[in-house]
Amino acid sequence: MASGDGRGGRDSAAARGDGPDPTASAATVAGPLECPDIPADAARLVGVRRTLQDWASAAGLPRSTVADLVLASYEAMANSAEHGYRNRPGTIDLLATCDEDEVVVTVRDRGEWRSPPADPGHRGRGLILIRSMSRAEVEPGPDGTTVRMRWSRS
Amino acid sequence: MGRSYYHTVTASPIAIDVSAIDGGVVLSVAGEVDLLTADRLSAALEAEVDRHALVVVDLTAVGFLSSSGLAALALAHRAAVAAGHVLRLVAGNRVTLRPLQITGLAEEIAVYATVPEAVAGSADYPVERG
Repeated sequence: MASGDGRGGRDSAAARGDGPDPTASAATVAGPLECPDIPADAARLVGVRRTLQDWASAAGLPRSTVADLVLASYEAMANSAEHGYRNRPGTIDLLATCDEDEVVVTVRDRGEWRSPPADPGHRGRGLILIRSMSRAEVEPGPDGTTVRMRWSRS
Repeated sequence: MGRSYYHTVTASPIAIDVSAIDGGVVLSVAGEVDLLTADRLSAALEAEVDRHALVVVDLTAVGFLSSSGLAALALAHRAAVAAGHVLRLVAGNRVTLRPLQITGLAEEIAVYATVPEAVAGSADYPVERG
């Protein structure tokens, strides 16, 4: 599967159908995807997004779930990159796991949680996307924020 | 935690083309609208909504639309309204339509399935000429 054909063709193709990726077995239980210490900057998140897409497709998830998982996870990472560290250098840990029943993506940073403003800029919208596209738990804490997102496999 | 390989690509593809129509322009976006590329979409939109009575933003070839892209569209729509102009979206694919619907933007901005439908508009969104 080519990554990034310059026109977003792969994602567009995924958007057209809702069946599992035909190249993946429906019974596949993918091994965990473990990406600790990702530099929290927008450029680095592009590759992580592609990797998550490949991983979720290989796990045999319905295409709609793959799309939701990639966007919600990206929003969680973008939130960390943009706001958790307030433009200071920092890192993000990404963990994606999968069993017979569900897929779980955890995004953790060590930055400061900031509540979205009343007027939803894209921070507000990012959280809306995360909460609408997954069963999400957001755990802000003094040592960073953990966002855990779950999807059923079927 | 172990360590998995991940892609190290650091650029998102985006292409923005502008073509003239009667009374305005169609701004065709292809690629991925994310934290890296949303500013380019914003800049292109800002220039067009100031100058044209009707701006149709065609997202058909967009394969990824994040909240930063939604913010660019929302701001451009606000600027268009402030200028007395009209901005319409074409989002026929789930990958673009779903984020627009979930965040309520699809209720603020008129969304159509195809460019001809967006150009034609509907009675609810009359094109302001002038």
